Amino acid sequence: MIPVSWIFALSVLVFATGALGVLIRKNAIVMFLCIELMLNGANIFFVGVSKMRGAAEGHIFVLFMMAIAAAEAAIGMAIITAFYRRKGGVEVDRADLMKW
Amino acid sequence: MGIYELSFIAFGLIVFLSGVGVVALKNPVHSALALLANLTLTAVLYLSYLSAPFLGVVQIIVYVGAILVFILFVIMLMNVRKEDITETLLSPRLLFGLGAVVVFVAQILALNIFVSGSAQGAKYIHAKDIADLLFTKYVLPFELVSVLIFAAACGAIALAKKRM
Amino acid sequence: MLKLILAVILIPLAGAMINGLFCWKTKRKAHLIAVPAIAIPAVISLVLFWKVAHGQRFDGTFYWWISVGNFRIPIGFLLDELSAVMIVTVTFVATWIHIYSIGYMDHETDRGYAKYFCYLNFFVFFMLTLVLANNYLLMFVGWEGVGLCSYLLIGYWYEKASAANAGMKAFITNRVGDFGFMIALFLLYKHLGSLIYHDVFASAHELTLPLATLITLLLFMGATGKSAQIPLYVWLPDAMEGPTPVSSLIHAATMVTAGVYMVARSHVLYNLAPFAMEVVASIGAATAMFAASMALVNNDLKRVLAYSTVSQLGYMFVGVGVGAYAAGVFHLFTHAFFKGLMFLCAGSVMHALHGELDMQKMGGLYNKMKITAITFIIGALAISGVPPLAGFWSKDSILHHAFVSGHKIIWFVGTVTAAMTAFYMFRLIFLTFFGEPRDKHIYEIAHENPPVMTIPLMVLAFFSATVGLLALLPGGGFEGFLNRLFEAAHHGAEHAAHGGHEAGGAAVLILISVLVAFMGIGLAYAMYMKHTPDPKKLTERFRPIYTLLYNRYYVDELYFALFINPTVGISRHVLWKIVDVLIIDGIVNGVARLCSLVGNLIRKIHTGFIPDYAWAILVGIIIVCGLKIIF
Repeated sequence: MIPVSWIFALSVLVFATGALGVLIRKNAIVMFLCIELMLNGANIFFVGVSKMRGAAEGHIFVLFMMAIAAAEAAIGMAIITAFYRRKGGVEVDRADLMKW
Repeated sequence: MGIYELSFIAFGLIVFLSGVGVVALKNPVHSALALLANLTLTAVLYLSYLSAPFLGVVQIIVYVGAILVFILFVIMLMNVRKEDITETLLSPRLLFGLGAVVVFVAQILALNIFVSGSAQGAKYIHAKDIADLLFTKYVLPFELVSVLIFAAACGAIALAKKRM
Repeated sequence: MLKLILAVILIPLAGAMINGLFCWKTKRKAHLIAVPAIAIPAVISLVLFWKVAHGQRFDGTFYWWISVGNFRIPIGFLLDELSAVMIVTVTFVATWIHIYSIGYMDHETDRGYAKYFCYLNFFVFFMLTLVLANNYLLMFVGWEGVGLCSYLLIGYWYEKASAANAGMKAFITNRVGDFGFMIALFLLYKHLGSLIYHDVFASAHELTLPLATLITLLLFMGATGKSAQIPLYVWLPDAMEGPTPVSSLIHAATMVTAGVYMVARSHVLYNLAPFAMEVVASIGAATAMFAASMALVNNDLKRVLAYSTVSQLGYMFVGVGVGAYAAGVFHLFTHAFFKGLMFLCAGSVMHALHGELDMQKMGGLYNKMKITAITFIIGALAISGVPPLAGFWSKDSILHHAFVSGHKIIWFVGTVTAAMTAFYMFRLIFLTFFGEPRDKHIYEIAHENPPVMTIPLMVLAFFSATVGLLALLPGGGFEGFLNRLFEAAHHGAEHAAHGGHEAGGAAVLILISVLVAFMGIGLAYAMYMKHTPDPKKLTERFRPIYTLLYNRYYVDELYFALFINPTVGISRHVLWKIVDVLIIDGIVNGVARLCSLVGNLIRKIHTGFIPDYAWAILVGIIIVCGLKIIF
């Protein structure tokens, strides 16, 4: 039997890796990938809870999250393409109009 | 600790490492591929250890089949060349980031949200169980999510148009 | 009865509102609204007066205006003999002055015309509120309201600097008096717990003597401001900058008598404070003499009348001060007619001469303006106290009461003032209407005014001549009617009872005052018609006195030196240069500078780099989790 805390530990690690990526990467696409990674970590958590309790609610949440991730991907990619078209690159430090 | 548990640890390690790959690889294409590996392995995790066959399949179809392919498509569209990649990962930033993330993980551990107890035995949750909930109790959020996706599609079209 | 009272008060308000809000519509037709808005209340006032005369009274609350804990102030009305007399006087005189204004103001612009009538109606509304209120606070509302309208109308020609300044002077001088009035109200409320007349008078005997004296003196301070007594009379002569009908209505017939009304209304309090009454009588007598002496040498037609008003108001205060409230109010009543009339006559002259007011340039106008001249003479005879015209009865009554109540000096001063009054009034008449025209050009443009102006003159002249006869009505006449109110509260009745006995002494007194009046008239005739003694020579001989009088005792200059210049100086050099510029502006600018300084520091946080925001989010999460762990 796998202790449920292992599953949680895995999800936290994946989430933390994603967060680290968002913090240190400058490429917008990679940042975006890292956000997906964080979502994935959260998903693992939910499925783990569901497994522990034997209930289907966690799965519902995961499904919703996938749907939202899809929507986010659509919007995010649209923004990134627009950004690329305008700035000639996807590095986020090119967006410096709001810089003081 | 039996072979089952050891296999989970090994598998989890691979999932984690593939995640690290997303962050650590310089080329965005490589990052995307690492994420692909991560998502696929997660799907396997769902199927095997977490008794969620439906979700595993959906994970493959939606994440890997749709979202990730879409992202890869965009990356290709940008036509990233090797010499364009100037990002240096080894910087003070990395150190601070690692520090912050370690603190964060430590805090989560300290919060002690891990309920003791083990994952129950082979009680699979099938598509029928999910559907029973999704179309009764959660039917309104379900419809709302469809509206959200529709709105996102419209927004994406509006954003990606040439004239902005 | 409440409905009728409300109608009396609200119809002028409605008239003012219509003309005020729709002045671009009413324009030249403003008087079609304004005149009925006064005339209808005048008729209703007569009905109310009739009811009061038959013994009815009204004291009721229409609406609770302020109700905070124990502090309750109603919109309530009191109709008794005193307020009935007041509303009849106010509405009646105001009606004819409104009609007169149609002719007088015909040179105004459309907007100005409607504005003028709006203010005038508004004034009547406030004046009626003042006299009909059943509590001191509502009276104070009316009191301030008439002050406001007075200010607006004095400054009616506000493009003229002198008019605007005169308005401000009137307003600020009144503030000084109102200050005392308000403190009196505070004291009344503090010690009696109510401001409603009924409650105040019922519990007035609880006041200690010093307190009652203090309150009544403070009330009188308010009265000196509004009714132009020493030392606050200075605004009234300057108030002549306003249109003449305004001077007639506000600064002669009604508003300035508000102080007298207030003292008469507070007679219960004054009866408790003999010292305050002495002060009132003394100030009244002093003012009467003082103002009359200034009127002797002034050459400005309206200013002579203004000083005369101040002087007559002094008489009224003598009346109420010696305890003869009825006599004081009677004089108020008759004065409203003859002084209103004389101002209107002066306005008529002024209108005919295109604004000329210098008597030295007039003369011989009798031939051109017969109606104006005759009505003016009737008014002058009335004010001089020639029997049987109105002023004779009321003035004589005041002097009589002063004498029999033992105020011999005040009686003497009043009698001398009566002679002076007769003299300066007929000096004015002889200089204006008789003798050789001294300025040919002015004489040639003179003409009689249209009937819309002369008919009010004739009506008021008729009443000036006859209202005095009300004193002969059975039951004590006019004063007997008022004394139903004053004596009911005046249990002691020290002064009031001796109407008829001592008939011999009374006859002597009457004879003296009539003689004195004729002396004044005769002297004026001798000096200004026969030139024996020649006024010019007299002027030369008494040069210092003449200069002193001509410059109005330098009171204005004194006030300037004592109060105004120091105030202006302190304001300019301390309040403006130091307090305002350095301290207040310093604080304001300092706060602004501090904000921009802090902003300059804080905006560094906003780097504009997206990862930094991600950092901020993570740090925030860490802090929240940390707090969760700690607590």
